[in-house]
Amino acid sequence: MTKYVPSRLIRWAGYLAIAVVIPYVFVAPSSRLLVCTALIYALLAASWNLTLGFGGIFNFAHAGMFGIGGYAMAIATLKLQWASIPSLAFAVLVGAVVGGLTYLPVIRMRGIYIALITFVFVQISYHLVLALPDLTGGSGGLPGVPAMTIAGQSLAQYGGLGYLWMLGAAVAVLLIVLELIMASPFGHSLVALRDNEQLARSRGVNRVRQQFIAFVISGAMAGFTGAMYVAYFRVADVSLFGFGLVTLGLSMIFLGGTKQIWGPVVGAVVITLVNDRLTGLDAWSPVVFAAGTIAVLIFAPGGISAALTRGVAVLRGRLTNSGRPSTSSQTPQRSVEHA
Amino acid sequence: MTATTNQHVLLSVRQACRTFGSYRAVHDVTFDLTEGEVLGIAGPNGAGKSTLFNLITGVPFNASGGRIVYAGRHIERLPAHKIARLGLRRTFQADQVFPELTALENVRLAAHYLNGRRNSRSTALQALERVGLLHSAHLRGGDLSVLARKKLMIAGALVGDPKVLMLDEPAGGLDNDDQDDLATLVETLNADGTTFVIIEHVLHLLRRVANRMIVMVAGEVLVVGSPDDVLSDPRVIDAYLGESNR
Repeated sequence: MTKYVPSRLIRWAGYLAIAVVIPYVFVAPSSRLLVCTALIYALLAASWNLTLGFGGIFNFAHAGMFGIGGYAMAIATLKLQWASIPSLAFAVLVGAVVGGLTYLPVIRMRGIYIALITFVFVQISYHLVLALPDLTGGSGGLPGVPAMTIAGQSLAQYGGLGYLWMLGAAVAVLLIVLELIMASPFGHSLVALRDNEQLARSRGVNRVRQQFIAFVISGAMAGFTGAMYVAYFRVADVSLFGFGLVTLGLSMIFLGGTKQIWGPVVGAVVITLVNDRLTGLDAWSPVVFAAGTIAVLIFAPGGISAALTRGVAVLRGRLTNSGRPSTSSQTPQRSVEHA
Repeated sequence: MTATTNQHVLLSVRQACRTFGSYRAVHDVTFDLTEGEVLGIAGPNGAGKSTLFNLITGVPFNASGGRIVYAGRHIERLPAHKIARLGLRRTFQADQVFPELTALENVRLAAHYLNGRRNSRSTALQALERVGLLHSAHLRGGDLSVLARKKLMIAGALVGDPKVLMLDEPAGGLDNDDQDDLATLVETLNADGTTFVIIEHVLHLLRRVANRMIVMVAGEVLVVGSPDDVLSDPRVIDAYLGESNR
């Protein structure tokens, strides 16, 4: 316990420190655009991992809730003329409600059937946007979303400095919140349901209740992310529900790794940077991504984060054992986390 | 032999049935479980023993027909988590744990959802101590030995002092020393007041710990009685070995 708590606090301080430092490292407008994009995708991928990775639920609806959050932000600011923060809160609320509603049709389903139904939800959202042009702007979308303002200050000024801070802080806070969730009995119950549903149910875990809550939280996080996306790029259109976004998000999660909370963030950063470098390849770019993701799934199924964790563990082992007589093999252990 | 029984019926199963299409996995099973006893259930593979456990505990399914009353309450339609919270707990075949959670987290999860969030850590530690796993509290479930994983499963079921523990083949995969260790644990917990139903193929273990035995064949109860009487019954020997091998 005494060993664990400081390491957790140090890690959290590290997240926040990175968020503070980022705007000073990336100064050029083009690099700030790239970093903001990476941070938005990091929010999308890390929050998606709650249901997909830790919950083991093939929840494609997360991408749809991202789009709905984006449209909620655009409608609140453009049609309702709300200020940024109430609009953001509205997007989070809409995401949470839609997240909960999305779970209802899949209550009795498992595995691939959940994937199919939730993907259909994304497609329905796509067509609803086209079918309701008065509200959504149809195929033209809702351009001209105002830049986000906090306390009268636009986040877009000074080359998007405010957006960088806001998004960096959002990623840091999201990682901390996810850590707290996964350290709680609720988080453990999601892992338990994923790994052994029958045993979990016989230990008092109500599958429907826990997964419903996970969908609501997932929806709220996706709604927030979609709202930030729209507030940053200043437009909401049907591409928010596109298949490309779904595959991009999944690639980020699997490339980064699902076991570590920060894994999808690494995946998002790597893919955004690689994507930027591959712009010259045009149509070949998705092919390269697909091949890269398949390669990772085959050769490093735990993703980049698992490889990094293994590497650090090996390094620590060597440093600990250097200069000592050989000891018996160490049993893998975890500290009494969250106790 | 374990603690003496009294006549207070904790669990009453009447004409319990479970069908899958036209297949009758469990048919017309009736028995009572009295407080403090250890009831052994034996029978060849496919006899319906685990299916009987499943329909009593509601995981993964309830009974197709019949009545099951636990502590005065009908439970035949209750979901698994509610049955478990009433104090009717089970383990599963093989050594099933949550491999990525530590032993303490495995049991604390059960303590939180079965016994309430207050004192879940101390309740979990107490359950680990009762099964002799306190020293392994920080190890991942997947890193424990087979016996330790079986004990961890029992610890998860033990939180909050349930009235009835149903163990599904607890001795499977254990050597003689570990089987002896497990039998001692059952005897200790039984002496502390826990009532047991145990499915087991290791018949000498049932002979040691059980007050009473049921032998099932083809989804039905074949024989009920004391372990010595049941195990020497010609119908039981036929069921296990076949008539030609008697």
